[in-house]
Parts: sequence; structure tokens; C-alpha cells
Amino acid sequence: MTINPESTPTGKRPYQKPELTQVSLRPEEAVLGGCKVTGTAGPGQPTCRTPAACSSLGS
Amino acid sequence: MTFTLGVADIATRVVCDEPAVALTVSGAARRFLVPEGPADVTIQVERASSLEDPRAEKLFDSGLVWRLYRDGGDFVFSFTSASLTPVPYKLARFDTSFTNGTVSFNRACLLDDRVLEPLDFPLAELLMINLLARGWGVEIHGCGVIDRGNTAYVFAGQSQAGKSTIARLWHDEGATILSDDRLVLRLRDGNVWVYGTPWHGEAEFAVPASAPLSRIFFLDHGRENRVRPMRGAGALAQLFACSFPPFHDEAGLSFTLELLDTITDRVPCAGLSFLPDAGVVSFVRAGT
Repeated sequence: MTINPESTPTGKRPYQKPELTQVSLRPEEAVLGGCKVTGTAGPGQPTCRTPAACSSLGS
Repeated sequence: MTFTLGVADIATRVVCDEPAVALTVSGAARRFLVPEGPADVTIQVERASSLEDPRAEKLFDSGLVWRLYRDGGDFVFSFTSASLTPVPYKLARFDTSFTNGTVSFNRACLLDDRVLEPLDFPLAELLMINLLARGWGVEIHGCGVIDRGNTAYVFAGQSQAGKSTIARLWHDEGATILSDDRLVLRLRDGNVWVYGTPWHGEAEFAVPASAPLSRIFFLDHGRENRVRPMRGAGALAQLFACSFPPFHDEAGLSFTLELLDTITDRVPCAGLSFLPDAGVVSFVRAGT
């Protein structure tokens, strides 16, 4: 006998098999590890102009 | 001298009692200056002849500009740059609530020690991230748009996802762009609100405005405009990957996850693959 889950008298939702999804993290972005300023390479690099001028991490 | 910066309804007053010093705010942050009034955060600015890292527990090292220490009851950010000396060019000390702090500049590292920019990158964001995690909200890597009828969308994504591209497309269609890179989400009267911030991306959109959030889209490049509804843990994981939680702070991380759970429960979320032309604006408008 086949039971249609959607019509069960208890109103339970159909079973959905758990799925594993991988979401990529960008730790260097999440920790504000650098910046993007036109014409420079950002903090931590020899061409950095910090603390003279800086901008948030690039989009 | 003093100024007050207002971001996401959070007022930060910055004060320097040295008469010879001028405080400055540059770039898009100038749009977020507000009249002096009640402040949520107060920061005192001073100059020092020398600075050194605190001899205290190191909580976090970003690997580049900043490190975080726990010194007694205070949090201390130390900022160094490879282009300068190995000693800190700036230290920022805050109490546990991040509502009171002191920023110290190393005079030996300054070209001109009479003009100081206390909230330059990345301190302003670090302060915001840690403050938000104490019950105020969360910062998101995304583009915020206020469209017709005060309908607001967030287009979330990591670098190169297309935030600045989509910002320009919506701007060309008459929408207000809160930011093309960083937003703040906060709960207000049970609703999720999205706020612009000064920390923009390549397109340099930064507007001190806010609106109730209607939908969150997770950006992806595609060969056609397509929406894929997301909910539950999947939406939460995607939004977490586009957020800026304080990884060193267990309580703050826990709060951030709970808030993101609330946000993805209350605001419809979807993946959005899009073509980089005005068609995506019509596509989103038609679907919401």
C-alpha cells in the first residue's frame, strides 16, 4: 500500500533527505585584512600609504 | 575639536583636547557627519611620542594591518604597516561594551602630526563590527538599494560577485544606492532595516539612509537572469558567508548567528544569477 505523505491525517510534511551544501568563506575579507586604494597595493605592502590614506576592502 | 559620525543610527563622537590638533574625516565618511548630540560611542584622540603593542593576551591577528589584544578589561587594537616601522602607528583601546575608547597616534609615524584621521580604515569598521555584535546588528558584504515605494533590497556577495556592477545598474534606473559594498542590518520594531555605510566599493556609493528590507538576493554571475528561492540553513549559511562577525568573540559570534537566523526567517531570500545589464532591474521589480 502506498501512502501519499501529503494526505496523511497528521499533516506531517514530506520527508526531505538532508543535503550537505558547502558555502565558501573568504577569511581575508571577513577580517578586514587589506584594502583597495587606486594606485596602491594596500596595507601590508611596500607601496601602502597608511596611515595617510586608506579605503575599505574592495567589493 | 570634535566631530560625530552617524552610521546605522549609531552616533560616534570623536574628541581631541589638544588645541594644536585638527581632526579630519575623509571621503564618503564626510556624508555621515551629524550635528553634535547624544552619542552612543565616545572616542578620545591623543598623540604619543611612541607606541608599542600591549603586553597582554593576543586575541586575534588579521595577518596584515591589525591585531587585537585583551588588556585587563579592555580591548586594544594595534595597527602596523609594512611601509612604516614594525611598531604600531596607532592603538585603539575600548571598554568591553565598545562604547568608550581612546585612539593613540604614534607621532613618529606621522607625516603631519597636527592633522589626525582617527576613524580611517580599518578602525571604523572594526569598531562597528564589535559594537554591532553586542546586540546592535550585523554588517553585511553587499549592495543595498532603495527602489520605488521605499522597497529595499540587499544584493549580498563576496568580492567579484557583482555588487558594484548591480549598484550601477540600479542607480541608472533611478534607485538610491545605500552602498555598493558594506551595509548594516538592524532590527527595528520587529522589522529588519538596511542601512548605508561610508565603506563603499569601486562604484563609490555611500548614502546615510535606511529602509525596511524587503528581500535579500545572493549574487552570482549567470547566462540569464534567474532567481532561486532559499530558506532555512541554506539562506543563513549564505548570509553568514557575507557577514563580518567578530571571530575572536564567542558571545558576539553567537549573537550574530542568532540575528542572521532571525533575518533570514523574516526576510525572503533567494539566489540571483544575473546578466550585467538593465534587464536584471526589470527582472527583480517584476518578481517582487
